[in-house]
Amino acid sequence: MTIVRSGADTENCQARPVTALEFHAVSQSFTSGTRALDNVSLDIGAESFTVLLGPSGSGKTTLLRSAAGLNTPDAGEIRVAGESITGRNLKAARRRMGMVHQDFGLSERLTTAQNVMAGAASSIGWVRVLFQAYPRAVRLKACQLLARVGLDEVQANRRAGTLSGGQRQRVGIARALINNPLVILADEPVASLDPATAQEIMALLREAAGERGAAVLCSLHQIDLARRFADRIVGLNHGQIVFDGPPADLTPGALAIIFDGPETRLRPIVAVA
Amino acid sequence: MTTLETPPNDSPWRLKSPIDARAVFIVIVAFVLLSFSAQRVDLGKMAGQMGEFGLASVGLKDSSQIGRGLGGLVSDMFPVAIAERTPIAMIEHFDANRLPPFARMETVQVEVSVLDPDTFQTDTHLVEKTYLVQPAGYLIFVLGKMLETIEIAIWASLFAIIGSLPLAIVGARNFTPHPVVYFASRSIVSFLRSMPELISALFLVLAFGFGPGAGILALALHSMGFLAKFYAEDIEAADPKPLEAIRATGAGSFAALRLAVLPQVLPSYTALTLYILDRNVRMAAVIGLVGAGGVGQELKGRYDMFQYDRVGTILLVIFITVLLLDQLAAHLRRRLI
Repeated sequence: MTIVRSGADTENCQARPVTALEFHAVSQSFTSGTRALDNVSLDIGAESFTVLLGPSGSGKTTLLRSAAGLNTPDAGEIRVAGESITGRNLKAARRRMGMVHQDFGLSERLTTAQNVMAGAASSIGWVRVLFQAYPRAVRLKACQLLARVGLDEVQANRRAGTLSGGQRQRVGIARALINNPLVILADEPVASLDPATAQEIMALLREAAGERGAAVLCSLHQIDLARRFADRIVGLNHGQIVFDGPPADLTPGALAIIFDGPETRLRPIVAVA
Repeated sequence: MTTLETPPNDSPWRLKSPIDARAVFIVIVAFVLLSFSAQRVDLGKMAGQMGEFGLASVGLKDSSQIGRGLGGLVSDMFPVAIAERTPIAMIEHFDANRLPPFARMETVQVEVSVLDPDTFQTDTHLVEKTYLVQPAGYLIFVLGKMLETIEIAIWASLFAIIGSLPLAIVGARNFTPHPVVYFASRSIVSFLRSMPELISALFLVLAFGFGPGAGILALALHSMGFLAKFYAEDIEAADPKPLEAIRATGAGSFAALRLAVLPQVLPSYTALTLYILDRNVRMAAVIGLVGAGGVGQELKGRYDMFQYDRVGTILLVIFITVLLLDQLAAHLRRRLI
């Protein structure tokens, strides 16, 4: 029952389960009365790249936050590698996931490298956390990841607050990868970046996660990026899955279903790539 | 293209005025209340005295009460006492061959008049009196007392920081383990802050006796309340995004506090702590007045003995110290933040 957390690189050698992340009939309503998730069931296959598409308020962010245990659904179950993420399992489950945030979620006054290593703080004693004295294995891994996402030694020792938006998201990706996750949850990872940088970051996210065998569940609002990088696109509208298929199936008709609620079906679709 | 609906020329929209009837009402009520209060606190008398002083200082009036009071005080205070003269007879184990550095001995002849009980005649004769004169003796003594005051302030601030950190963490809404703990912490903090140092020192001196101990405790308790309140508010106001990001990695509250909150609040904590240190030095001088050690205790003693030249020395030392500390604090603030 207990998940044995293995250090550093051994996890890469383990056989990965076929399904990385499962949602079973997940529902969530907020006190304001909005039903953010309505009986959502979804399996994210290992090493897949799934993009969540949907209009604002369709439940994309709520779904990702539920998977990360940042909010608790009213009903349903979420499993990572077959283990439910509730209660005692939450910490262990969180270590098997990495999260990339829209606003990067970096501590701006810590250095780039310290931010990456902070991702591994959950498996380190409090004295080491207090003095940010990470074990050698963690430091080594952080350096490798930073190099992989395209940052150098100078940038590794600069405060994260001095980096550009694109660089910050690179740090975010490196941090998400430091625990060798089974799945990376990316909540609008490129929403605050310019289009060219957004392309770079999406490509990096896809490649870096792919190399390490991590599945990616990524919410986006740019349809062109979804088409280009996704293996599979899941459309959400009013908390329900209204589309599920490969990018090739994303026809204007499908987009209309994803982006139009029943009451606004007559409005023309904007920005079809 | 959307077109804006423009209001017709003859009837513009009614826009919100920055001054409304309520604001005018509040000003009028405040004015009436202050007028009553002014009479109660004899503001008229104070204004009269200030006017009299103003007239006197430009020569339109012979003298003024403030002028006489201030003049008397200033002439008593200056020149301030720098040297210390101690009659050798009052020094225990005096060794004329081993004087303190820069000290010298001074012998003066004093006329002593004694009434002869047999003849009822006043008999005057000369007596030699020897003093030990230390040219900067009193100044050095006061500087020592000032150092003690600064030490009181530093210890009090140190205890305040150590005590306020846990209070602030459990008293911050986003980190408290339980609402009851939050409420308890906030109550303790309010209680500590509501107690003025001077008054708590008054009672702590009764409990602990005269000396720096009571002063340190009085200052520490009050500044603990102050720091805990503002530390807690900083934790609550910290940007939740890095916090969530750290939590999402599976880290516990301690790691989240250390890696996501502390880096954000550190500049503000530094500023608050420097302010409390600066304030504690000034307050430590004040609470000495009730016997809680340091330069204030010396000031109170000399003031009660009407030794205004010594009071002058003490005031100058306090003034210069506070000025220097202010500069130091400003410098540190620039360096650290």
